[in-house]
Amino acid sequence: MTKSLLVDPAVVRARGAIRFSEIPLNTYQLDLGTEMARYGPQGLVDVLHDMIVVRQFESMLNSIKTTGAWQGVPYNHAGPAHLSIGQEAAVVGQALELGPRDLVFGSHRSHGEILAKCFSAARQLPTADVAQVMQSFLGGETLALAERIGYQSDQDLSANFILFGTLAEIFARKAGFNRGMGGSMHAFFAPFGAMPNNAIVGGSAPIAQGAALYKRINQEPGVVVANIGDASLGCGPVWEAICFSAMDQFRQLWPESAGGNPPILFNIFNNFYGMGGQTDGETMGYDVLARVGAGVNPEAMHAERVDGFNPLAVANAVRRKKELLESGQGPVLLDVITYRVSGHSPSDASSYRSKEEVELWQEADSIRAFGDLLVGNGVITPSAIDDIQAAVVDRLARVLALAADDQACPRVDAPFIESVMYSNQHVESFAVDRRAELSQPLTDNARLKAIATKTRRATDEHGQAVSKVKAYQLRDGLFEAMAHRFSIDPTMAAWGEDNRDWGGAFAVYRGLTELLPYNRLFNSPISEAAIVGAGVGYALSGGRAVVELMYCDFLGRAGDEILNQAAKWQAMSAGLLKLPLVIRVSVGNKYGAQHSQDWSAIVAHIPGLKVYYPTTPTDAKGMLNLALAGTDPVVFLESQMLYDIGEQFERGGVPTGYYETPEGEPALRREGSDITIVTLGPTLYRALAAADRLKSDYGVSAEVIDLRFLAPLNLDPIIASVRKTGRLLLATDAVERGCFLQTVATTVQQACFDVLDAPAVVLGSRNHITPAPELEALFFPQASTIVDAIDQRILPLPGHRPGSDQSEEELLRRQRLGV
Amino acid sequence: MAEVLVMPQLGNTVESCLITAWRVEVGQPVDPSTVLCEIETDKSAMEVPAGLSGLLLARLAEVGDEVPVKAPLAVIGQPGDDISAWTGAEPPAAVAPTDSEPAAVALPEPIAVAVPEPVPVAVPEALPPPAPAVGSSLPFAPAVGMGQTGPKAASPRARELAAVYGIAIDSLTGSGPRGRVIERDVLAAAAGQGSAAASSLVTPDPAPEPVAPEPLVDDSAPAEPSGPTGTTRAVQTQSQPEAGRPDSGSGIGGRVRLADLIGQTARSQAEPDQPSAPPAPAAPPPPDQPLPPEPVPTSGAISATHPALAGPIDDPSFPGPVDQTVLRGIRQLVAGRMLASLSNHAQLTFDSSAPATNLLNLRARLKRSDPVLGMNGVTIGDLVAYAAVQTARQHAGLNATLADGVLSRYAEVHLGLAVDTPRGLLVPTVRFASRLGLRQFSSQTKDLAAKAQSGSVSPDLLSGATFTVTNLGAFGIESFTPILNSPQVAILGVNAIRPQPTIRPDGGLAVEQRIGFSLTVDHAVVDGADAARFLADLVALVADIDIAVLD
Repeated sequence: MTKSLLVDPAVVRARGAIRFSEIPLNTYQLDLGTEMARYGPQGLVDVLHDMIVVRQFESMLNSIKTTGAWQGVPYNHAGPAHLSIGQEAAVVGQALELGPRDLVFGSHRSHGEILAKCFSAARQLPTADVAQVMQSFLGGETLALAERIGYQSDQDLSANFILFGTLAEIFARKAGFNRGMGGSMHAFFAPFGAMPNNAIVGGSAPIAQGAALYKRINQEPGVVVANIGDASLGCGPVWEAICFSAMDQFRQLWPESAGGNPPILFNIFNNFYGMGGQTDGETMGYDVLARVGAGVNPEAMHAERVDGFNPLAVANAVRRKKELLESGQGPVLLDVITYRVSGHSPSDASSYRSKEEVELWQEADSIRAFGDLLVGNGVITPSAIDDIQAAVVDRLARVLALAADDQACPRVDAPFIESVMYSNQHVESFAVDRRAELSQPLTDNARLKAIATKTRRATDEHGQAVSKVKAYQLRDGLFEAMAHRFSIDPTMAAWGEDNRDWGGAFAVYRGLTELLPYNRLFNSPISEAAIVGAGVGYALSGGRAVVELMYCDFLGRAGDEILNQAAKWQAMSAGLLKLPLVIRVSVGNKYGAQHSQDWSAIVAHIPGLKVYYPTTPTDAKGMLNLALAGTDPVVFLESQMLYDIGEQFERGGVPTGYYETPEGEPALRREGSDITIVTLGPTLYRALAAADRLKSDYGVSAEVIDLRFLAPLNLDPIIASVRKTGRLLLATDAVERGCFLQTVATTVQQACFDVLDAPAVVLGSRNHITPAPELEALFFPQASTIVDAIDQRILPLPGHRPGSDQSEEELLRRQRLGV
Repeated sequence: MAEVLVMPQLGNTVESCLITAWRVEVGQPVDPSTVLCEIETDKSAMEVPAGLSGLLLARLAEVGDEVPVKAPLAVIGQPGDDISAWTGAEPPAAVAPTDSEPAAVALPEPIAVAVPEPVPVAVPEALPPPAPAVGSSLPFAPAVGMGQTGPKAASPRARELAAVYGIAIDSLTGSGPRGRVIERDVLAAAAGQGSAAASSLVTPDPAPEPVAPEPLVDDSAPAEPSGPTGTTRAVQTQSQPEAGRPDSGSGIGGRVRLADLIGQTARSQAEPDQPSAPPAPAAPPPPDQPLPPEPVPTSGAISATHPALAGPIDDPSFPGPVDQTVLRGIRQLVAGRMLASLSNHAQLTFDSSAPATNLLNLRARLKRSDPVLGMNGVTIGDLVAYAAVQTARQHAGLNATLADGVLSRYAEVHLGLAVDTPRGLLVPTVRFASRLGLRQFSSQTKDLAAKAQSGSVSPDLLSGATFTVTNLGAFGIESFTPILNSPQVAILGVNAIRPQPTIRPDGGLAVEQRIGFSLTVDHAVVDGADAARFLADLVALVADIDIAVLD
């Protein structure tokens, strides 16, 4: 989708063959002299120490999980503990070469990654910086407890802090790294670069890719590592993230100053099993995992297989790959072979592998082998290793005693959980010290100039309808809001399918291509999971992202990223992370069953998301302004029926300046006294037509209220209206069964029971597929069906001849049939 | 020092594990990887490694035990370690220790193993009408539940307004869906009574500003919000405001709930002299007004539920002390088998009785007989059971078992004897009872009963019977319905011997001692006539028991 790239038939039709570059396997050669020179004897001892810490920490968890105690400290841990005993060399070797600003995103099996990364970062940072981090974190709450464990040096204290913060998080303590809101599978500590760990297999891949995108777009140093498992290569979103990160445009079309491809390392901790399914020979077909790099780009993702039982081999590979990533030549794929000696979880009977196999890997134990190497070369004595071991156990026993103490370490309460579901902040710019990069001055933008000439109302001063080309349309409101925020917040970036050049499938972004450089507006692959996942990673890294789903029906393709990632991370981080992400979702029609669905109920059902659905140009602008100044994930629904609608309600037309719609407040579109009609989305306009007919034909005065917001939502105005009218009908284009207005109806009915003259009636689309456009009137609620439903279920209208059956019998008949 | 190994928690939802095998004997050395035992959870089978080095000093649970997770499983240590702390005290906290469930015994060879022939379909006399097929759709009955029957349907808003105007809802014709009385009907009625109130909902004319309705009549009490059912009743007694309408409802926001009205009715009933609760005379309804369709319940039972009535029935310590026991052991087993029996057999009981004169006489003579004969201890029960054995041998259809669709009929009778023991009901088996003479039979039954009482009966003898006798005669039971000792297809209940009026051959009335029998059979394989023939033969044998024992 760019005119600068020629698709030349002479080239693409030419005969030839692809030559794949070689993918090295375990090529590391140990030269201890070199490694000693690089890390020093203490550096190597530190590696051994960290491996022992990880092993002991997880052995402790295993004992607590299976026996209810460790070192005489009893504790009943109700939550999960997915252990990685056997994989210590891989995580410690990786952390050895990562700096504090390099980020790792992990999996449900990431205790080792958190500890290794934090120990490594704490060692690299100046003591004062570490102290500053610890003092400021959670207002010093975690540190105050870490101090009670006993310490003699700064290193002791930071070790206490890291171990206690992690364990307290696993035990769901308020002083845990995420106040217990993440737990074992989601714990993280961002100040040391240990980023959110993800309990959805492969879930970290698109998010880490988004974090790498953030680093690239905002010119921040450091690389990003997605620590995922071998089995996650079977997950679509992982492939999507890989393809996204490998796009040619980063080097071919983006400004050279942007720095090339996002610095993302897809680091596969390849322990050969996904729970019990064996990726090597059973559930995958790649033979050697590193091979898959060859399918992605000409560099084969610089893929390598690395011996993850040797920490120095891993460190060596990470160092070399980091250089490639920093110079924009990513992405990189590492196949770090390792082995999980422990079960997937305590219920693992190891029915899928032989005892002999486990014993072979136990014989190759990385901690013993690395200890022997150091002893054999006189770096450390066996008794000194014993001392390390004893000291680690001693410290952990004290950490455990404190973390197990219900008095000293309370848990959060329900109001706290409520308080972290949204961050509810207003942020003009996430980088106030930077100028927002534009390709042209805002005032020169052709689209903005054209909009300025339009009539900002749907009718002129004589009440005549303004033609669509002359009227300010809903899509113009969206454009004004986007352009405004792009000009203020330099971190804001937008991507999606056909966003650039085409200007979005519905011309909302027409004119943005001229305004913005590639690194602020670009086309993504057709990868909804990666589109939204990148937005999540980008936002939680500190930037504002706007992503687009061309049709609401494609939301299923990004199901995990919206429902499990965007919705969860603010709360699972206990409010430490913000998620300024706007997911623009276009709701279609005319294109049949897979392009015409309003899935607002699905997103409104998931706690943690905000859901907006504007219906007028004024609201489109005001609500997008609101979303783009907020710090929460917003699913922003837009109806394709309304992109070209003009402003019918604001007397003064769409305001020209900046304004925000008050969040959660429904809009009164027409006053009335006999019945309240609540609408969501474009049904508003059919409800208004129904109100006209009710008035003219039956003398019934309808009050029409446009919900606009699904979450959060203030129902007070609706309740006040129903108290006045005593009657309520709700209409939506979403299918009737389980639609969001059922929730509204139930709630309002409870609050208004005593004043109701009839039960609340919800009129949705029929519970079947969206038929061809010629038949859509059978599907979506129409003005006529609204009047019929009122006549048959609320207020019989003298003389009314219904055109449809809206009776209770019909309702129940349909339910019986499931339609 | 010895260390205790606990049952590992192998999964978040695992609460206990079943030990399926021990791999190490006490006294044998173990190292951390030695597999100590094999266990099963609800999800999987796995092995428990010792985790420690040393000697296995004690196993704290046995194969078949269900051990809670984190409960002690074994003690590992060195020779001479003191392990009394684990072994001296309570045995392992095994969950529901399965008591000596009898091992399967080889059943005696059946003479005939046959899939029962198709039983003639004997339609019971009183066959219930065919039940509707589960899941079939009920014909839609729009009149039901749609507001056309039962109390007059009226919207809460209409009721509220009617209360304000003092209009009886039942006097109105509803213009809402399905005849529901809605706001406009009340407004129209109010207008008809001369109210100034009108609404655009009544006439489609240009709507005047809604006028706040003014109370028409003397009912100036502020309107309480009320739930639909509650208000229906309140409105029905509108003319008796004090009695029919509580001062304030107990619902949220003072909403009048059904309970308030019932309670108030009860109060009125309980205090009939209250002047504020005048009976019918006050303001009779207009002649065209239908009677209230659902009179307010006045039964004492409802009155008694009213909290205002004090007494033991309101004792907050209800229900008093309760002793709760989780079913375990024999009781658990019996419970399961009884229910299984009832659900697996078509049980039908036949009652009959036999003249007991000869029985009583024979018993008296035996009791007095020379001890050398060894017959002094033969009881009425022995004699009856002996007769039952003889009868069963002649009726192979009832000396049979039915399992997995296979009917096994036996040439020999192995008699199950129901014994009431301190541990619960046990049914030991007199094997080859049909080969025993009366003396042997009597002595064996005594021996078995004693062992059952003391708990020393061999588990092998707790199954394998082909026919069972259960005797409640000593308790004066006149008739009961014994439950089959599955898989057997018949069980004989023996009842009390009672004097009964009878007609002498000369036509005069006399009193005769008779013993009752209650025979339960599995109607799936035993027809009524077969059971009747069995009883007839048994009755004949018992009637002439002194001759029968000579066999």
